[in-house]
Amino acid sequence: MKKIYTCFNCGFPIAFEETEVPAACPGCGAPRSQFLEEPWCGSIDKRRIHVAPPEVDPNRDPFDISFHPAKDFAPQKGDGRVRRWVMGYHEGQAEEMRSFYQDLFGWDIIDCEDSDPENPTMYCATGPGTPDWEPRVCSFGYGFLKKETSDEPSPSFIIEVKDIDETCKKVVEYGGKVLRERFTQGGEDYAVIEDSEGNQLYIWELKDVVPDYCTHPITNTGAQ
Amino acid sequence: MAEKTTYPHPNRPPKKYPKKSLHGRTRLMVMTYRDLKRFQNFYIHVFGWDMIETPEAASGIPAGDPHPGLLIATGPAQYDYEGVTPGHMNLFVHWAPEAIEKIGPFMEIEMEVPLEETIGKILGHGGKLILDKSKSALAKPLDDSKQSWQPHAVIEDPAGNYLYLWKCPSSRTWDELETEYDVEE
Repeated sequence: MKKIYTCFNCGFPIAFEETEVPAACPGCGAPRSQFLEEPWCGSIDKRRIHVAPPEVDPNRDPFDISFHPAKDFAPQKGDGRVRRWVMGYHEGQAEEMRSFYQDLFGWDIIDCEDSDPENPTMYCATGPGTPDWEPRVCSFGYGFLKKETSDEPSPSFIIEVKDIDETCKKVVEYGGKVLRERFTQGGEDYAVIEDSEGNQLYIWELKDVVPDYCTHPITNTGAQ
Repeated sequence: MAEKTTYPHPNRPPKKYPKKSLHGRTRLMVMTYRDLKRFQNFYIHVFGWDMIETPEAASGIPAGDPHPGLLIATGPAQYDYEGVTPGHMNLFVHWAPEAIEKIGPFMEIEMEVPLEETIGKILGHGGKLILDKSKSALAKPLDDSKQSWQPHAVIEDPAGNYLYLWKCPSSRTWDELETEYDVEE
């Protein structure tokens, strides 16, 4: 019989046949003994058992990786968000890449206006989007397919920051490197950094952009 | 100022995704670390990321391992560390025993289609199945026999990028925040 199982430890609800229930919560790793059960009622949203997630302790040790609800990100105003992925291709391979991702994965791909028409930088919508080409739904992202170059790493991703110069100072202070200082592309300011492990990433300055969740607080996360 | 238009701007919205499917969505990013404390010190201080040990169901690594998988929020997140506001990706991070591995997207593939069929199509279009664990600790042979929150296959695209593919278990109810799709009007 299908039931809804709600984890008492983290509040994560899942619906499963009784014979297929996992041994531990996929959300937090708590054992099955922590699951509260109720009959399937046709929708997770209509369940009657609701477990409040643990409260966020603003003073918790950020290095402690035991399960805890994610912190309140509103004070960062978007700083640190991973906004785009970047994947590379070789000279002359643009149409092969476009076909691979359109045909197999159904992406909507457009060329960036300022890029080489023979080897375009392609912006890829991988799921539902807004009229201005931002992801409309939670928990996924868009990205770029671009020709590989020596000073623009790929595969990689792009992190939003409020101040490139301040971020670059911190990168060096905490064991990373600045590989390419501020540069402008498509009217946007970027820099390229290397983290403490050797991963090469882009940072993207959106100085005046404040995400909606900072002005319209969100609920049901345990944090906000 | 609220969220703004970002480039490029082709004067049309993206196509609609009306199918009840998350196939092809780049859900999270995958990256690796060599030294856990050093990695944490960098990302906690530079970007303010919040992180937990990835549950074994999603990492295959027992709790308490000295080289844990990490599930990282880079913006607002739910109890299960899925993003709770549109516009950012969270991360799966794992230890690389030899050298850091290729960054790549953690992508969903069809829930209702046999894994071998989906991967077969990809191979037919010039993709390659990566089985060498020295290239990616997540590489593994195809196994569609049990449902899992772990990546199901590591695929190399025609240009050499790695895609970390995941087939969601049937427990998905479509009430989850991240499962919204474009409904035909």
